[in-house]
Parts: sequence; C-alpha cells; structure tokens
Amino acid sequence: MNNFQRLEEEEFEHLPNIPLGVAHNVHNSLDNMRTMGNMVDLYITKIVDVFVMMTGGNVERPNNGFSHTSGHGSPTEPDSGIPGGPAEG
Amino acid sequence: MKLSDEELIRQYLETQNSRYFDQLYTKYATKVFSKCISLLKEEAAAQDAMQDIFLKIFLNLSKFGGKSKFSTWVYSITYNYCIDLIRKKKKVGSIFSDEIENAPDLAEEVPDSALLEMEVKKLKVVLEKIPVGDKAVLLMKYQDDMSIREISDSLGKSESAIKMKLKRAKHKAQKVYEETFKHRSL
Repeated sequence: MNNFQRLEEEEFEHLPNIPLGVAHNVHNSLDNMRTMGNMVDLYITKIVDVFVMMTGGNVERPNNGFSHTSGHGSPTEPDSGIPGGPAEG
Repeated sequence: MKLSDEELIRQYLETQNSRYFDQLYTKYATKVFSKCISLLKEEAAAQDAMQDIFLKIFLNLSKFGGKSKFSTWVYSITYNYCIDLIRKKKKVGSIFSDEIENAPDLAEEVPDSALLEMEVKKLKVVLEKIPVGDKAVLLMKYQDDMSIREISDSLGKSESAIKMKLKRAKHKAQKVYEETFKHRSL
C-alpha cells in the first residue's frame, strides 16, 4: 500500500456518514425508469397509430403470422396462406 | 457465498433483484463518496453527485464490457462526473485540454518516488493545492492503480496526452511540496 492509498484509508476514517437515502433513491429511480420503459414499449405503437390517424393517415397492421381467414385453425406465414411457409416462385 | 463483481452484475441484469444491487452499491459506496468529497470538497455536492453517479452506473451496467476491472469502470465514471461538474461550475471548456495542448514541454520527469515518499499528511496538503485535473490523474494513477491506457480511455484523451498530463501534475505536486514544506524547515 503506497502513501496515496494510505491517504485514502485515512480519508475513509474521517468520511461523513453516507446518506442512507442514496441507495433507496437510486433504486426507486431505476424502478421508475423501468416502468416507464415498459409502458412506452407497450403503448408506443398505439400512440404512433393515434398520431398517424390524427394527421389523416391510414393505419394498416400487417398480419402477425396468424391467418384469420384460412379456417384451418393453424398458423400461416403472412401473405402466403400456406401453413409453415410462403409459397415458392 | 461472496460473488464476484462480474457475477453480481450478471445476476442483477438477469433478475433485477435488489439484493445484487445492494451488494454492488455497498461495495463501492464508500470509495465513490470519498472520491466525490475529495474532488468536489463539499459534502452536499458529493451526496448529490453520488446519487447521479450510481444511477449512471446502474443504467449503463449492461454496457460494461469487462475489458477493465469493474472498479476501474466505476471510478472512471466517478472522476468524469466530478470533473464535468467542476468544469460546469467554473464555466470553462475543459480542465484538461488547453493546458495539455498549450503548455511547454518539461525536460525532466519527476520520479515516482518523489511523490510516493511524501508523508501522508503532506501529500494531502499538496493534493489540495494543485488543480483538480492534476489531482484526478494522480489519484487515478497512484491511488487506483490505473494504467495510462485506462486513464486515457476513461478521460477520452490520447495516451501521450495523459503521459504529458501526468508529467506536469507530478511537477506541480513537487513544486507545491517544495514551496510549502521545504523552506518551512530551513
């Protein structure tokens, strides 16, 4: 241990108490940010849709991989209509 | 069982469990607070800084690549934050760059032993009297055992600029030491 590190040790001894609230505040801030992030993740598409509609646009969602028209009750690839993959050619 | 820093980080990122947060915080809180007080010289400012620094650390935890030790990464954030805060308070562009680029070259290098052999009390006085930028690089090098490369990475300067900065900081420290203590003993 050199004199710089001994100085640090000495400073530790005379250090005022670390405020207890710091860890709590940091933890709360992180939690809040996480919650905000989740909300944005969840609602951002809807917010964008509302914005697009307000500006006179038309919101069209692509098929999410499940065909509601096939009638077979099995998932289909978007636009292919064939379960398991798009049509070749 | 005591987990390594890397393991604590991995567990925290995976689970977001406050237990891992607390362990990391407890491990580094004293050191970060001590550095903040040492650089900012005000307890209230140090408390605020500490909160921001830990928030920054935990928000960027996933970006810690493990290239350096976690402690080095934490101290880099601490030094950068404090230096930035001082720069903003003084309303100057940088407390490093102008000095590095404009200062004349010093011929002789002060040996490490000249600093490392100072009494702790005298070293404390010397560090209080030199500019904060010089103090920061000396602390990084001799207190935190950071390499030139690690210092240059954390301050965003070239290695040669850091070598020059260290050289000047050592000169200033020795000069202050001589002015303060040498002619007092004559």
